[in-house]
Amino acid sequence: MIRESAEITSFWLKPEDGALLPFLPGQHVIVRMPGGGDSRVYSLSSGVADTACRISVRRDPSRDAGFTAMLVDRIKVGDALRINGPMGSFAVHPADSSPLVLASVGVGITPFLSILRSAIALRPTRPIHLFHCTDTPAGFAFEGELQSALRLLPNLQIDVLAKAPRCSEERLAFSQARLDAVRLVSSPLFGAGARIMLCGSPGFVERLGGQLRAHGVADARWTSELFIPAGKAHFQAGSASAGSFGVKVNATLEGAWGDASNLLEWIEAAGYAAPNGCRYRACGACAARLVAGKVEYLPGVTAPTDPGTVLLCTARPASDIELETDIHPIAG
Amino acid sequence: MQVGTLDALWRYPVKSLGGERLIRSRLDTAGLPGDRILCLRDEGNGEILSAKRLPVMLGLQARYDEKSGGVMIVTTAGDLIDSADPFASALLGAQLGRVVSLLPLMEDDAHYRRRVPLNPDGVKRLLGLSLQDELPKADVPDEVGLVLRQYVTWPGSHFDVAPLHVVTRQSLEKLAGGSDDIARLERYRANLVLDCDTLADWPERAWIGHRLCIGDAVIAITQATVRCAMPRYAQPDLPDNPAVSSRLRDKTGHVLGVYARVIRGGMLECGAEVGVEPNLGERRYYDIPAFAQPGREASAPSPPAATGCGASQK
Repeated sequence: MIRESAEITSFWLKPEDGALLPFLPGQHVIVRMPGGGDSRVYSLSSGVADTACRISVRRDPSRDAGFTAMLVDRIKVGDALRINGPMGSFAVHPADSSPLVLASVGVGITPFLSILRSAIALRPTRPIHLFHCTDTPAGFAFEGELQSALRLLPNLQIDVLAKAPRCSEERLAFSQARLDAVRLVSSPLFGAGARIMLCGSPGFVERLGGQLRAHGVADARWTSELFIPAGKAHFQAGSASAGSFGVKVNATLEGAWGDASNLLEWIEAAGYAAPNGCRYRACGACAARLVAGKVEYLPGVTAPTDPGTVLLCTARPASDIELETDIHPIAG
Repeated sequence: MQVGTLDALWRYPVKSLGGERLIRSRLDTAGLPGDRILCLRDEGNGEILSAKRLPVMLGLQARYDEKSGGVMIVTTAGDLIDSADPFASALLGAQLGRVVSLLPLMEDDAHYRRRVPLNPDGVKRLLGLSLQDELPKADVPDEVGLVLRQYVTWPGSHFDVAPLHVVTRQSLEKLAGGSDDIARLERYRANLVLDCDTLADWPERAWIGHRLCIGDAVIAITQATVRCAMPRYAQPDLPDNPAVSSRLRDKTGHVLGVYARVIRGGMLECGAEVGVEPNLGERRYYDIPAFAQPGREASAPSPPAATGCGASQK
């Protein structure tokens, strides 16, 4: 366990049985407490050549409950966690040399740390331009790690956008401006064909994503991942009966809805794995078939055009429902 | 007796991914070179993945390079994944929303085995039927059904049942009833598509138990093919089409096409004449694992819960 900043803590995890499966920088794991129950998704912040894997989590100082608070407050070195994955489509090939423009805010930098660490091991010449937004420019989280990445990756440029001033260094520029899409597409790497990757809070990703779209940047040129703060209500308050809706998946899994965030997490909380990718509507990997009933989607999320398809990651029941998808019990 | 010509030739280098159309190919006793040489294993449960369970697999297309023996997989976005890339499994997992391993044929019998043998309800689910539906009547030998309930693919191979799957243009057209979408070859994942001279319906059904000669190659038609829900699923340039399943149910009773094994290899080329050679003798065409042979059911490694015919092949 490493304290990265006032709010961010890193955990280095070693598999108890066998080696960590190969993963792509940017992918996430589903973490569960030893006793089961709740789970939460974290990006891996370690590189593909690291001998253990790392997650770096932000504990909201104003909240004493929630999964991340429990992880930071209760888990000690030597404790066991249950890990499912790695998976996810917000990812790059670690040995590829194609240029990247990365934009993050706060703890949203974690998947990009994996990209940088992997490039150091496998493709140090990869051109990468990282834009990182932080409130605290002096000694921001992972500054030491980014400094060593700058030493080891000759084609890495980092722009830190902060609320307070600080002097720029070579290839580590500070500015007090707000990050916008113009800055991203003005990066020489974007002109050279780079893909843009956005990672951070929903507000950050939606704002920059909207600007990129308004700029006419093709969908294939950018991708995003949202970090939804724990405990934030994803849906507007449901009707009083919502919690008692019955959910049935194949013939295997049946139960009451309760107060899960979305169908994917409901299935995972029941101890099953279901296909998933981006976990926020983008990739379609979690598509399931709606055999009976109705679902509703997160505010701002477009429902799939086929009414028989449910994207589990962003939907919840609006009646008793029956789904078909490929689930299996999570081992361990 | 000539019955038609070889109209199209397809191979599918990775089980359940899209395949490639060929003009000509060698045929070996094990099938078409490069056909189903790889599979994806779901690391969540350790079982070989099939598009029956994960239809999104059909969005990926595999091409076999005969010179290198490697396979190139094209993603829906048009990116290429080389089977020799050390990150190929992770790249495919990112496409499929799964933790998967891209694997060749394995010595170990466990590679092909289901974690839980199928019961009749499981067979129905796999075939895309509702639990009230009857199982298709496909005259599948009991010992074959026993193997299929215990294995995802035929042990020792990544084929569902047999190295070759054969359909006729005439059957596809009759099934489609004028719909170009339902008639699309890609949906039925055949290796050999034959164009027949006959006016008879479902001509390939008459060949079960007999042999076909295509050029200098000889194949034996072993059994009818039970169709699962796979033909309806979306593929590149093809939408998900539930009408495919309902036509299969109403017109064919979920039985379309036939499986074949290779008696003698040879060169296959589109346009080649196809003859049928009636076979009045030995009709046992399967390599049945010892546990599934008649009279040996009691010693099955994990006794099947199912009874009766429950072929799970597509």
